Amino acid sequence: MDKEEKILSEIEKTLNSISDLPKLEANPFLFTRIKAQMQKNNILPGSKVKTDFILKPVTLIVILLINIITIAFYLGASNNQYSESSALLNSMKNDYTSIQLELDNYNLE
Amino acid sequence: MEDTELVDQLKRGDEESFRLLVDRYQRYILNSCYKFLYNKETAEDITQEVFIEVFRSINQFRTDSKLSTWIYRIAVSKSLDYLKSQKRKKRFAILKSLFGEDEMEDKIPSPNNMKPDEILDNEDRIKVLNWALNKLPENQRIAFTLSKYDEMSYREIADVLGVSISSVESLIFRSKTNLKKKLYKYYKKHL
Repeated sequence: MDKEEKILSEIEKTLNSISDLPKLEANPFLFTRIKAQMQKNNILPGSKVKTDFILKPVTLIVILLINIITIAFYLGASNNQYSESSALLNSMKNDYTSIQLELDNYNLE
Repeated sequence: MEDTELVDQLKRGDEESFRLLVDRYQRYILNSCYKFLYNKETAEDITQEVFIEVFRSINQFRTDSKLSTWIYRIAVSKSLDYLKSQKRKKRFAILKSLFGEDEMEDKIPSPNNMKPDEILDNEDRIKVLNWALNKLPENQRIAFTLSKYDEMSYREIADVLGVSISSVESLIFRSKTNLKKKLYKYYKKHL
């Protein structure tokens, strides 16, 4: 048998070896062990609550709220900014107008 | 007692039904875990965890599916989670593996030291196969193991994996092809 044949034969045997795994016998104390573990951790039937249906809408609402607050904050900020800049412009305009008036009066004189 | 009745009573917290469920399925679950873990003690620990999980999440079991398939799915998932956690531990713990190409390859038997006519015994072959299976993508590994070891039908495997029968066919085909490639590489190096 050459090396190539040996390899192929060994591959086949290896692939089939899984069916030769021994079958294990059940542990007669398994239930006692499970009971002890459950009592220790206070595990009750159905104690694992399915939270997906609660958590998904809650997460969605939280994300929406964050978005709304952020938008409101920025809109408010930009409005304030706008009013601040219009006030500045107005005061500049007033200052400029008063200077212009003074100059006009000076020229008239 | 039928499985449906068993589930109903279990949902009501009946301890006797739980004992019955453990008796009915423990050998099946123990062996299912064992073929992924290859260690009796670990398989027993995981079997214990599987039944606790079944007890805790029995209210999530949909009565239109088969109880055995549902428990089986939990067993496969717990076994694979354990393997993943072991891999993570190894990655952090064994510094020398950072320098080696593949630490598992060093631990599996090399046929060089065996008798010429009996190249590897079955126990060694199982170790080699386990090493190669560990290299496969998870779904290919599950499909191959369920089909080869449990002799499950494609329909049953599809139920456990939650995929179509044609996907199972493809997974098994790809798993065999990939395994053969890996084993060929291994034996070429070691024979």
